[in-house]
Amino acid sequence: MIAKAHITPLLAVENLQTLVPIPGGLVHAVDGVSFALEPGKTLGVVGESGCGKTMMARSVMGLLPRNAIMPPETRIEFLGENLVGLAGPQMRQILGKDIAMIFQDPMLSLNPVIKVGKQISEVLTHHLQMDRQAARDRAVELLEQVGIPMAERRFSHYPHQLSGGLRQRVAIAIALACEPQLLIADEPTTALDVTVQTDILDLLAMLQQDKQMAMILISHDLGVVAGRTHDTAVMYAGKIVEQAATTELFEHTAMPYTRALMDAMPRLTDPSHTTLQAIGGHPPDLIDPPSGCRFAPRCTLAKARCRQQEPALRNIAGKNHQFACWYPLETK
Amino acid sequence: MSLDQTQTHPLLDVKSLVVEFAIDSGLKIQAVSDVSFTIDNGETLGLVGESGCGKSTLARAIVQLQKPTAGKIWFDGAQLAGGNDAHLRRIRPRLQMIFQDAAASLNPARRVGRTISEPLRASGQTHRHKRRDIVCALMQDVGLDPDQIYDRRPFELSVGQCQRISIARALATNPQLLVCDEPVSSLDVSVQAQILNLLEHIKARHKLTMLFISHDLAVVKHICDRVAVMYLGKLCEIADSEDLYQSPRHPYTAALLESVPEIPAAGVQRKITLRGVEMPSPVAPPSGCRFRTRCPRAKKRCTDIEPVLVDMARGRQVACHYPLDA
Repeated sequence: MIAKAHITPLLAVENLQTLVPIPGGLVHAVDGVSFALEPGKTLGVVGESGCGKTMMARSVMGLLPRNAIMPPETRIEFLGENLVGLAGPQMRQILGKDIAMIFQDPMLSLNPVIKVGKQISEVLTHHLQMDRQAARDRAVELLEQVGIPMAERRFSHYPHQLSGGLRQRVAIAIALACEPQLLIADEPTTALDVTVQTDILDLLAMLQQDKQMAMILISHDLGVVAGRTHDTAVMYAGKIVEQAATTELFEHTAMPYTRALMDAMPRLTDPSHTTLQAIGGHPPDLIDPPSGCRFAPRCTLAKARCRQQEPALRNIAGKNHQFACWYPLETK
Repeated sequence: MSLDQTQTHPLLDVKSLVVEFAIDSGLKIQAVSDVSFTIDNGETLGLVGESGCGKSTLARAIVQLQKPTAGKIWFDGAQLAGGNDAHLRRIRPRLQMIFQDAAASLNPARRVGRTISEPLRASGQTHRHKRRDIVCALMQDVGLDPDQIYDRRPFELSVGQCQRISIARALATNPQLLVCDEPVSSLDVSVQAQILNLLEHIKARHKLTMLFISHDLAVVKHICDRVAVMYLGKLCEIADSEDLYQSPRHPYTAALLESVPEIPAAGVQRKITLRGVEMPSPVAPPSGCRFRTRCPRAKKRCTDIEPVLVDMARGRQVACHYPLDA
């Protein structure tokens, strides 16, 4: 059926598990994450530091520590092909070309001793076999496209000569050079000022629409995700604990953890000196996670069952809204 | 705010402060350029602006970590800048600061109990057991268990715990003014909420006056009574926080407020869309109004004449030739 073929996901992740051995034991960094992403759509991923957001993204990219383990039941299907266990050379054909990534700190993701223009044209000569002049011209064009003034001159600048905002634009230009079908943006604006953040997010949204690119936007800032994504997944302790269309998730929050994150956030609309609802305690140890619901030790609504039995993700009837909680918040 | 009868002056009074740095080839940049403001006893003043606008330099100049090039700072009626060392040593315990990266601001090799007791020793508390008692009380004050924490080193603690330690260290000398430079910027929202609540709690308990620097406007609104907005070394607007957030008068303040991502995404109608990609270089700031190169409302007068802070209703000051309507 044609209609069905149309919504074939670009990326289908099934039961993603990433285990990292460390001296103290085996860290379950990502523990059974599944989601699908259609072309042109944006998935937001939120959660506290250490919840596995970045490790999940890196697992998709195959950018894991050498000793990391992904069990055989993990499937990461990109255009129908399983990326798990793909050999280095095959993976390198895809990375930077079909799937690209931008990172939080562009100072660390750019090479400090290579001119920024060269770092863009390198991608073009490598993946698209462009000749040097064509690659150079295209690189200047890309610099213009990501809103860098005096692109011709900036081509021969080194990363340290640019401000944080411009560096992140360069990183975006590199990521978009081959017009990837999937862009993974890991906290792309966390290191930037709010005004620059708005510009960068607007830029990503515009480029995404132009190219019908799918995007995974990872952020610890719920505000960033709320305005910029179609779907949102909330992660806690290596698992997705709630997932829905973004407006649905924020309007009809079911999982107490999502609600707690929202309540902890200071809002412009609150009067000054409002006491914030902090979340007590710490995220659990991922070497030996607690039995039952992993959020139970910090959850104000937890009951005995929560500490004994782990809730699985389940659907709200009639909606594409999943959550993992025995006693969900009342949904309107 | 209850003021002492004896106190008629603000706790901190900064007048025409300039901080210059020499860069290559004899050029100078003014990181802080002719800034004046006051903070009353018991008040929290917020200072917001983009990176590189001079917020941190201003804070460092106030606690005398950075020598001002010109201008004066009075603290509780006594002049800070230009005073002699002995005088400064007497005043310093009353001025304390906490920093953004708490873990980096603690000595990694030192047990945290010792870190907190160091300022006590430096300010003349010679009795070792007494120091230990005070440190334990301070730890409890900031929500840490002394039995668990006293002999730990920073790497064994979480970032939130490290920030609590640095707050306890700042409180050790019984300060009047606490300068907080982006104290929650590297924290998760859950921990950020804890630290913000803690700051409000210790402010009340220790009768503190605070200067709170942050690039996060929502955080600043939560904790501050008044807010000053800084751009490229100058103040553009200063007002009561409710007033400032309700109706910003300076276009830059409005642009900052409109950039804050909120839930639900309100689909904010932007009144102010900034021009240009970013802040101009402070080496050669624009003539006239420094914000004019990015301001959508700029006219010829903004190029020619530099606007100064003008008094408006309810104690607000705005430096703009064409302020937004109230």
